[in-house]
Amino acid sequence: MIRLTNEAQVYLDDYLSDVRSAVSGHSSVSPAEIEQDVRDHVFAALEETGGQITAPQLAAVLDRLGPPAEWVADEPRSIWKYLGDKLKPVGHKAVAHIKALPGEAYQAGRGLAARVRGLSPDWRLASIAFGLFALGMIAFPLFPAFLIASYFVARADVALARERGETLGARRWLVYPSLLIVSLVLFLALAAWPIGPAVGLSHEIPRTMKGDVGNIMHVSPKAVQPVAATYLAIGAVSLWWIIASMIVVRWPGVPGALFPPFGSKIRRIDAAIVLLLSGAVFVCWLSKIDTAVRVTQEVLWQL
Amino acid sequence: MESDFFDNWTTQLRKGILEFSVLATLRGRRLYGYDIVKRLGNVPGLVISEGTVYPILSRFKRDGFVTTTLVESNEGPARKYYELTPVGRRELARMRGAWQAVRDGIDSLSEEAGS
Repeated sequence: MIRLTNEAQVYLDDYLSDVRSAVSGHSSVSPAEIEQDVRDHVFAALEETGGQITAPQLAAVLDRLGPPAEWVADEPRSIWKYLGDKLKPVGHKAVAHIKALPGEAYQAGRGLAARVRGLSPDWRLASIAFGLFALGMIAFPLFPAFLIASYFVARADVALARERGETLGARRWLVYPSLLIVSLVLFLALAAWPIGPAVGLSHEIPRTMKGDVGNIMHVSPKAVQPVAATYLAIGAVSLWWIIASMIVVRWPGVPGALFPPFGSKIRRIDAAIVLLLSGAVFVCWLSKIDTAVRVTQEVLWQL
Repeated sequence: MESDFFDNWTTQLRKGILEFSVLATLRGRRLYGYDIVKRLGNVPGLVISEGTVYPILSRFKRDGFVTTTLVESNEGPARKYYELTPVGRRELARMRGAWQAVRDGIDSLSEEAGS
Protein backbone atom coordinates (compact mmCIF):
# COMPACT_ATOMS: atom_id res chain seq x y z
CA MET A 1 0.00 0.00 0.00
CA ILE A 2 1.34 3.42 -1.00
CA ARG A 3 1.09 6.49 1.19
CA LEU A 4 2.19 9.97 0.14
CA THR A 5 3.79 12.47 2.49
CA ASN A 6 1.84 15.74 2.86
CA GLU A 7 4.35 17.49 0.63
CA ALA A 8 4.06 14.79 -2.04
CA GLN A 9 0.25 14.88 -1.85
CA VAL A 10 0.25 18.66 -2.48
CA TYR A 11 2.68 18.14 -5.36
CA LEU A 12 0.43 15.46 -6.91
CA ASP A 13 -2.73 17.57 -6.45
CA ASP A 14 -1.01 20.51 -8.19
CA TYR A 15 0.09 18.30 -11.04
CA LEU A 16 -3.40 16.79 -11.49
CA SER A 17 -4.83 20.30 -11.45
CA ASP A 18 -2.43 21.16 -14.32
CA VAL A 19 -3.58 18.01 -16.14
CA ARG A 20 -7.25 19.07 -15.80
CA SER A 21 -6.48 22.57 -16.95
CA ALA A 22 -4.41 21.40 -19.93
CA VAL A 23 -6.87 18.85 -21.31
CA SER A 24 -10.20 20.50 -20.48
CA GLY A 25 -11.85 22.25 -23.40
CA HIS A 26 -10.57 19.68 -25.90
CA SER A 27 -13.70 17.99 -27.18
CA SER A 28 -11.79 14.98 -28.56
CA VAL A 29 -10.70 13.72 -25.13
CA SER A 30 -12.28 13.12 -21.72
CA PRO A 31 -10.48 15.20 -19.04
CA ALA A 32 -11.88 13.12 -16.15
CA GLU A 33 -10.68 9.91 -17.78
CA ILE A 34 -7.20 11.28 -18.47
CA GLU A 35 -6.89 12.54 -14.90
CA GLN A 36 -7.85 9.09 -13.58
CA ASP A 37 -5.40 7.40 -15.99
CA VAL A 38 -2.58 9.68 -14.82
CA ARG A 39 -3.44 9.00 -11.18
CA ASP A 40 -3.40 5.23 -11.86
CA HIS A 41 -0.10 5.61 -13.73
CA VAL A 42 1.52 7.41 -10.80
CA PHE A 43 0.40 4.78 -8.30
CA ALA A 44 1.47 1.92 -10.60
CA ALA A 45 4.89 3.52 -11.09
CA LEU A 46 5.34 3.95 -7.34
CA GLU A 47 4.18 0.44 -6.43
CA GLU A 48 7.70 -0.91 -6.81
CA THR A 49 8.97 1.69 -4.33
CA GLY A 50 6.18 0.97 -1.82
CA GLY A 51 5.75 2.46 1.65
CA GLN A 52 5.71 6.20 2.19
CA ILE A 53 6.42 8.21 -0.96
CA THR A 54 8.32 11.48 -0.67
CA ALA A 55 8.05 14.50 -2.97
CA PRO A 56 11.38 13.79 -4.78
CA GLN A 57 10.32 10.19 -5.46
CA LEU A 58 7.01 11.44 -6.86
CA ALA A 59 8.77 14.19 -8.83
CA ALA A 60 10.81 11.58 -10.71
CA VAL A 61 7.59 9.87 -11.93
CA LEU A 62 5.92 13.18 -12.83
CA ASP A 63 9.02 14.33 -14.73
CA ARG A 64 8.80 11.24 -16.91
CA LEU A 65 5.09 11.97 -17.54
CA GLY A 66 6.13 15.45 -18.72
CA PRO A 67 4.35 18.84 -18.72
CA PRO A 68 0.58 18.32 -19.36
CA ALA A 69 0.40 21.53 -21.41
CA GLU A 70 2.38 19.77 -24.17
CA TRP A 71 0.18 16.67 -24.37
CA VAL A 72 -2.65 18.12 -26.43
CA ALA A 73 -1.09 21.39 -27.56
CA ASP A 74 -2.10 21.03 -31.23
CA GLU A 75 -5.72 20.02 -30.70
CA PRO A 76 -8.63 22.46 -31.10
CA ARG A 77 -10.14 23.82 -27.85
CA SER A 78 -13.62 25.05 -26.99
CA ILE A 79 -14.34 28.78 -27.17
CA TRP A 80 -15.02 28.89 -23.41
CA LYS A 81 -11.64 27.40 -22.56
CA TYR A 82 -9.97 29.69 -25.08
CA LEU A 83 -11.68 32.72 -23.51
CA GLY A 84 -10.77 31.45 -20.04
CA ASP A 85 -7.09 31.29 -20.98
CA LYS A 86 -7.26 34.71 -22.63
CA LEU A 87 -8.93 36.22 -19.54
CA LYS A 88 -6.43 34.69 -17.11
CA PRO A 89 -3.82 37.44 -17.67
CA VAL A 90 -6.58 40.04 -17.13
CA GLY A 91 -7.33 38.43 -13.76
CA HIS A 92 -3.64 38.44 -12.85
CA LYS A 93 -3.44 42.13 -13.79
CA ALA A 94 -6.49 42.87 -11.62
CA VAL A 95 -4.81 41.14 -8.68
CA ALA A 96 -1.65 43.20 -9.34
CA HIS A 97 -3.75 46.40 -9.33
CA ILE A 98 -5.41 45.37 -6.06
CA LYS A 99 -1.97 44.85 -4.57
CA ALA A 100 -1.02 48.36 -5.67
CA LEU A 101 -4.03 49.95 -3.88
CA PRO A 102 -3.30 51.98 -0.73
CA GLY A 103 -4.35 51.28 2.89
CA GLU A 104 -7.70 49.67 3.70
CA ALA A 105 -8.73 49.33 0.07
CA TYR A 106 -5.58 47.29 -0.49
CA GLN A 107 -6.32 45.05 2.49
CA ALA A 108 -9.94 44.51 1.42
CA GLY A 109 -9.01 43.85 -2.20
CA ARG A 110 -6.14 41.60 -1.24
CA GLY A 111 -8.40 39.60 1.05
CA LEU A 112 -10.92 39.16 -1.74
CA ALA A 113 -8.27 38.14 -4.28
CA ALA A 114 -6.80 35.65 -1.79
CA ARG A 115 -10.23 34.14 -1.16
CA VAL A 116 -10.93 33.70 -4.89
CA ARG A 117 -7.47 32.16 -5.38
CA GLY A 118 -7.99 29.92 -2.36
CA LEU A 119 -11.22 28.41 -3.73
CA SER A 120 -11.06 24.95 -5.24
CA PRO A 121 -10.76 25.24 -9.05
CA ASP A 122 -14.10 23.44 -9.42
CA TRP A 123 -15.89 26.10 -7.35
CA ARG A 124 -14.00 29.17 -8.57
CA LEU A 125 -16.14 30.04 -11.61
CA ALA A 126 -19.41 29.25 -9.81
CA SER A 127 -18.38 31.48 -6.88
CA ILE A 128 -17.41 34.34 -9.22
CA ALA A 129 -20.77 33.98 -11.02
CA PHE A 130 -22.68 34.21 -7.75
CA GLY A 131 -20.44 37.03 -6.50
CA LEU A 132 -21.23 39.11 -9.58
CA PHE A 133 -24.94 38.38 -9.16
CA ALA A 134 -24.82 39.43 -5.49
CA LEU A 135 -22.87 42.60 -6.36
CA GLY A 136 -25.57 43.47 -8.90
CA MET A 137 -28.22 43.13 -6.18
CA ILE A 138 -26.25 45.44 -3.89
CA ALA A 139 -25.48 48.05 -6.57
CA PHE A 140 -28.98 47.72 -8.01
CA PRO A 141 -28.87 50.35 -10.80
CA LEU A 142 -25.98 48.34 -12.25
CA PHE A 143 -27.87 45.04 -11.90
CA PRO A 144 -28.30 44.39 -15.67
CA ALA A 145 -24.54 44.77 -16.31
CA PHE A 146 -23.58 42.49 -13.37
CA LEU A 147 -26.33 40.02 -14.32
CA ILE A 148 -24.99 39.68 -17.87
CA ALA A 149 -21.40 39.27 -16.61
CA SER A 150 -22.59 36.66 -14.08
CA TYR A 151 -24.58 34.88 -16.82
CA PHE A 152 -21.50 34.48 -19.05
CA VAL A 153 -19.31 33.23 -16.19
CA ALA A 154 -22.07 30.78 -15.18
CA ARG A 155 -22.35 29.53 -18.78
CA ALA A 156 -18.58 29.00 -18.86
CA ASP A 157 -18.83 26.94 -15.67
CA VAL A 158 -21.68 24.82 -17.08
CA ALA A 159 -19.76 24.29 -20.35
CA LEU A 160 -16.57 23.26 -18.54
CA ALA A 161 -18.46 20.87 -16.25
CA ARG A 162 -20.06 19.27 -19.32
CA GLU A 163 -16.70 18.95 -21.08
CA ARG A 164 -15.22 17.27 -18.00
CA GLY A 165 -18.20 14.93 -17.82
CA GLU A 166 -19.08 16.24 -14.33
CA THR A 167 -22.41 17.16 -12.79
CA LEU A 168 -22.72 20.63 -11.24
CA GLY A 169 -23.84 19.20 -7.89
CA ALA A 170 -24.22 21.82 -5.16
CA ARG A 171 -22.49 24.38 -7.41
CA ARG A 172 -25.73 24.72 -9.32
CA TRP A 173 -27.18 26.93 -6.56
CA LEU A 174 -24.45 29.48 -7.31
CA VAL A 175 -24.86 29.49 -11.10
CA TYR A 176 -28.64 29.01 -11.41
CA PRO A 177 -29.79 32.52 -10.29
CA SER A 178 -28.24 34.41 -13.21
CA LEU A 179 -28.78 31.55 -15.67
CA LEU A 180 -32.45 31.26 -14.71
CA ILE A 181 -33.22 34.99 -14.92
CA VAL A 182 -31.42 35.60 -18.23
CA SER A 183 -32.72 32.36 -19.77
CA LEU A 184 -36.30 33.22 -18.74
CA VAL A 185 -36.09 36.73 -20.22
CA LEU A 186 -34.51 35.39 -23.43
CA PHE A 187 -37.10 32.62 -23.67
CA LEU A 188 -40.05 34.99 -23.21
CA ALA A 189 -38.60 37.41 -25.77
CA LEU A 190 -37.98 34.60 -28.24
CA ALA A 191 -41.39 33.00 -27.67
CA ALA A 192 -43.56 36.11 -27.76
CA TRP A 193 -41.84 38.53 -30.14
CA PRO A 194 -44.52 38.15 -32.90
CA ILE A 195 -47.06 39.81 -30.56
CA GLY A 196 -45.36 43.22 -31.07
CA PRO A 197 -45.68 43.40 -34.88
CA ALA A 198 -49.20 41.87 -34.69
CA VAL A 199 -50.46 44.55 -32.27
CA GLY A 200 -48.73 47.24 -34.35
CA LEU A 201 -50.53 46.00 -37.47
CA SER A 202 -53.92 46.16 -35.73
CA HIS A 203 -53.36 49.90 -35.14
CA GLU A 204 -53.27 50.39 -38.92
CA ILE A 205 -57.09 50.21 -39.11
CA PRO A 206 -58.15 53.89 -39.58
CA ARG A 207 -60.40 55.32 -36.85
CA THR A 208 -63.02 56.39 -39.45
CA MET A 209 -63.41 52.82 -40.67
CA LYS A 210 -63.98 51.12 -37.34
CA GLY A 211 -67.78 51.14 -37.83
CA ASP A 212 -67.64 49.32 -41.18
CA VAL A 213 -64.94 46.92 -39.99
CA GLY A 214 -66.92 46.27 -36.80
CA ASN A 215 -69.94 45.24 -38.94
CA ILE A 216 -67.84 42.73 -40.85
CA MET A 217 -66.36 41.35 -37.61
CA HIS A 218 -69.73 41.42 -35.78
CA VAL A 219 -68.25 43.47 -32.91
CA SER A 220 -68.74 47.02 -31.68
CA PRO A 221 -66.44 49.74 -33.16
CA LYS A 222 -64.69 50.06 -29.76
CA ALA A 223 -63.76 46.35 -29.77
CA VAL A 224 -62.38 46.36 -33.33
CA GLN A 225 -58.78 47.15 -32.45
CA PRO A 226 -58.43 44.78 -29.42
CA VAL A 227 -60.13 41.91 -31.29
CA ALA A 228 -57.99 42.47 -34.39
CA ALA A 229 -54.83 42.67 -32.24
CA THR A 230 -55.74 39.43 -30.43
CA TYR A 231 -56.57 37.65 -33.70
CA LEU A 232 -53.34 38.73 -35.38
CA ALA A 233 -51.24 37.93 -32.29
CA ILE A 234 -52.67 34.39 -32.01
CA GLY A 235 -51.97 33.76 -35.69
CA ALA A 236 -48.44 35.16 -35.58
CA VAL A 237 -47.45 33.40 -32.34
CA SER A 238 -48.89 30.02 -33.37
CA LEU A 239 -47.16 30.24 -36.76
CA TRP A 240 -43.86 31.18 -35.07
CA TRP A 241 -44.19 28.30 -32.59
CA ILE A 242 -44.83 25.89 -35.47
CA ILE A 243 -41.56 27.06 -37.08
CA ALA A 244 -39.62 27.04 -33.78
CA SER A 245 -40.83 23.57 -32.77
CA MET A 246 -40.02 22.19 -36.23
CA ILE A 247 -36.47 23.53 -35.78
CA VAL A 248 -36.22 21.76 -32.40
CA VAL A 249 -37.64 18.50 -33.82
CA ARG A 250 -34.98 18.63 -36.55
CA TRP A 251 -32.12 19.87 -34.28
CA PRO A 252 -32.94 18.87 -30.66
CA GLY A 253 -29.66 20.38 -29.41
CA VAL A 254 -30.78 23.97 -30.13
CA PRO A 255 -32.61 24.63 -26.79
CA GLY A 256 -29.63 23.21 -24.86
CA ALA A 257 -27.26 25.55 -26.69
CA LEU A 258 -29.51 28.60 -26.20
CA PHE A 259 -30.60 28.04 -22.60
CA PRO A 260 -28.03 25.86 -20.80
CA PRO A 261 -28.44 23.81 -18.69
CA PHE A 262 -32.26 23.97 -18.57
CA GLY A 263 -32.79 23.77 -22.35
CA SER A 264 -31.03 20.40 -22.58
CA LYS A 265 -34.02 18.85 -20.75
CA ILE A 266 -36.26 19.63 -23.75
CA ARG A 267 -36.58 16.52 -25.88
CA ARG A 268 -37.70 15.94 -29.43
CA ILE A 269 -41.05 14.56 -28.16
CA ASP A 270 -41.71 17.81 -26.21
CA ALA A 271 -41.12 19.83 -29.38
CA ALA A 272 -43.45 17.48 -31.31
CA ILE A 273 -46.22 18.08 -28.73
CA VAL A 274 -45.76 21.87 -29.03
CA LEU A 275 -45.83 21.47 -32.81
CA LEU A 276 -49.16 19.63 -32.64
CA LEU A 277 -50.72 22.16 -30.24
CA SER A 278 -49.48 25.16 -32.25
CA GLY A 279 -50.73 23.50 -35.42
CA ALA A 280 -54.19 22.98 -33.85
CA VAL A 281 -54.35 26.66 -32.77
CA PHE A 282 -53.23 27.77 -36.22
CA VAL A 283 -55.93 25.63 -37.91
CA CYS A 284 -58.58 27.24 -35.64
CA TRP A 285 -57.12 30.63 -36.55
CA LEU A 286 -57.38 29.81 -40.26
CA SER A 287 -61.11 29.02 -39.83
CA LYS A 288 -61.69 32.77 -39.33
CA ILE A 289 -59.37 33.84 -42.14
CA ASP A 290 -62.28 34.78 -44.45
CA THR A 291 -63.31 37.56 -42.02
CA ALA A 292 -59.69 38.76 -41.85
CA VAL A 293 -59.49 38.81 -45.65
CA ARG A 294 -62.71 40.81 -45.90
CA VAL A 295 -61.42 43.32 -43.32
CA THR A 296 -58.13 43.65 -45.20
CA GLN A 297 -59.96 44.18 -48.51
CA GLU A 298 -62.24 46.79 -46.91
CA VAL A 299 -59.29 48.70 -45.40
CA LEU A 300 -57.26 48.58 -48.63
CA TRP A 301 -60.28 49.64 -50.70
CA GLN A 302 -61.04 52.62 -48.43
CA LEU A 303 -57.36 53.69 -48.45
CA MET B 1 19.46 26.59 -36.55
CA GLU B 2 20.22 23.06 -37.79
CA SER B 3 19.45 21.73 -34.33
CA ASP B 4 16.06 23.56 -34.27
CA PHE B 5 15.15 22.04 -37.60
CA PHE B 6 16.12 18.54 -36.47
CA ASP B 7 14.21 18.90 -33.16
CA ASN B 8 11.10 20.09 -34.95
CA TRP B 9 11.36 17.32 -37.52
CA THR B 10 11.76 14.56 -34.92
CA THR B 11 8.82 16.00 -32.92
CA GLN B 12 6.54 15.90 -35.98
CA LEU B 13 7.75 12.42 -36.92
CA ARG B 14 7.18 11.12 -33.40
CA LYS B 15 3.65 12.56 -33.18
CA GLY B 16 2.59 10.82 -36.36
CA ILE B 17 3.89 7.40 -35.43
CA LEU B 18 2.97 7.47 -31.74
CA GLU B 19 -0.74 6.94 -32.47
CA PHE B 20 0.13 4.04 -34.77
CA SER B 21 2.44 2.61 -32.10
CA VAL B 22 -0.26 2.82 -29.40
CA LEU B 23 -2.66 0.78 -31.55
CA ALA B 24 0.14 -1.61 -32.53
CA THR B 25 0.99 -2.23 -28.85
CA LEU B 26 -2.58 -3.36 -28.24
CA ARG B 27 -2.62 -5.77 -31.18
CA GLY B 28 -3.88 -9.17 -30.01
CA ARG B 29 -3.75 -8.34 -26.28
CA ARG B 30 -5.34 -6.41 -23.46
CA LEU B 31 -3.03 -3.99 -21.62
CA TYR B 32 -3.16 -1.74 -18.58
CA GLY B 33 -2.40 1.98 -19.30
CA TYR B 34 0.92 1.91 -17.40
CA ASP B 35 1.96 -1.24 -19.32
CA ILE B 36 1.29 0.46 -22.65
CA VAL B 37 3.43 3.44 -21.64
CA LYS B 38 6.28 1.19 -20.45
CA ARG B 39 6.26 -0.87 -23.66
CA LEU B 40 6.28 2.27 -25.81
CA GLY B 41 9.06 3.66 -23.62
CA ASN B 42 11.26 0.73 -24.69
CA VAL B 43 11.28 2.07 -28.28
CA PRO B 44 14.21 4.52 -28.39
CA GLY B 45 13.15 8.15 -28.98
CA LEU B 46 9.44 7.35 -29.38
CA VAL B 47 8.01 8.66 -26.09
CA ILE B 48 9.57 11.79 -24.62
CA SER B 49 6.69 12.65 -22.24
CA GLU B 50 4.96 9.49 -21.03
CA GLY B 51 1.75 11.43 -20.32
CA THR B 52 1.26 12.07 -24.06
CA VAL B 53 -0.06 8.52 -24.39
CA TYR B 54 -3.15 9.09 -22.20
CA PRO B 55 -4.90 11.76 -24.34
CA ILE B 56 -4.31 9.46 -27.34
CA LEU B 57 -5.95 6.55 -25.50
CA SER B 58 -8.86 8.80 -24.48
CA ARG B 59 -9.35 9.93 -28.07
CA PHE B 60 -9.16 6.35 -29.36
CA LYS B 61 -11.81 5.34 -26.85
CA ARG B 62 -14.06 8.19 -27.95
CA ASP B 63 -13.49 7.24 -31.62
CA GLY B 64 -14.35 3.60 -30.87
CA PHE B 65 -10.88 2.22 -31.68
CA VAL B 66 -10.38 0.80 -28.17
CA THR B 67 -12.58 -0.33 -25.36
CA THR B 68 -11.79 -0.48 -21.62
CA THR B 69 -12.47 -2.99 -18.86
CA LEU B 70 -11.91 -2.49 -15.12
CA VAL B 71 -10.14 -5.46 -13.53
CA GLU B 72 -9.66 -5.83 -9.77
CA SER B 73 -6.00 -5.82 -8.70
CA ASN B 74 -4.39 -7.39 -5.61
CA GLU B 75 -1.80 -4.63 -5.49
CA GLY B 76 -4.10 -1.60 -5.33
CA PRO B 77 -7.14 0.01 -7.01
CA ALA B 78 -8.92 -1.66 -9.94
CA ARG B 79 -6.93 -1.38 -13.17
CA LYS B 80 -8.31 -0.17 -16.46
CA TYR B 81 -7.33 -2.42 -19.35
CA TYR B 82 -7.47 -1.29 -22.96
CA GLU B 83 -8.10 -3.55 -25.96
CA LEU B 84 -8.74 -3.00 -29.66
CA THR B 85 -12.28 -3.05 -31.03
CA PRO B 86 -12.99 -4.41 -34.54
CA VAL B 87 -12.90 -0.78 -35.77
CA GLY B 88 -9.52 -0.28 -34.08
CA ARG B 89 -8.16 -3.48 -35.66
CA ARG B 90 -9.29 -2.32 -39.11
CA GLU B 91 -7.72 1.10 -38.56
CA LEU B 92 -4.47 -0.50 -37.37
CA ALA B 93 -4.34 -2.68 -40.51
CA ARG B 94 -4.77 0.42 -42.69
CA MET B 95 -2.08 2.27 -40.77
CA ARG B 96 0.31 -0.67 -41.07
CA GLY B 97 -0.25 -0.74 -44.83
CA ALA B 98 0.41 3.00 -45.12
CA TRP B 99 3.47 2.74 -42.86
CA GLN B 100 4.98 -0.13 -44.88
CA ALA B 101 4.41 1.74 -48.15
CA VAL B 102 6.16 4.85 -46.82
CA ARG B 103 9.01 2.82 -45.31
CA ASP B 104 9.57 0.81 -48.53
CA GLY B 105 9.45 4.02 -50.56
CA ILE B 106 12.04 5.73 -48.38
CA ASP B 107 14.25 2.60 -48.35
CA SER B 108 14.24 2.50 -52.14
CA LEU B 109 15.12 6.20 -52.28
CA SER B 110 18.03 5.59 -49.91
CA GLU B 111 19.21 2.60 -51.97
CA GLU B 112 19.09 4.71 -55.16
CA ALA B 113 21.11 7.43 -53.47
CA GLY B 114 23.65 4.86 -52.16
CA SER B 115 24.20 3.05 -55.47
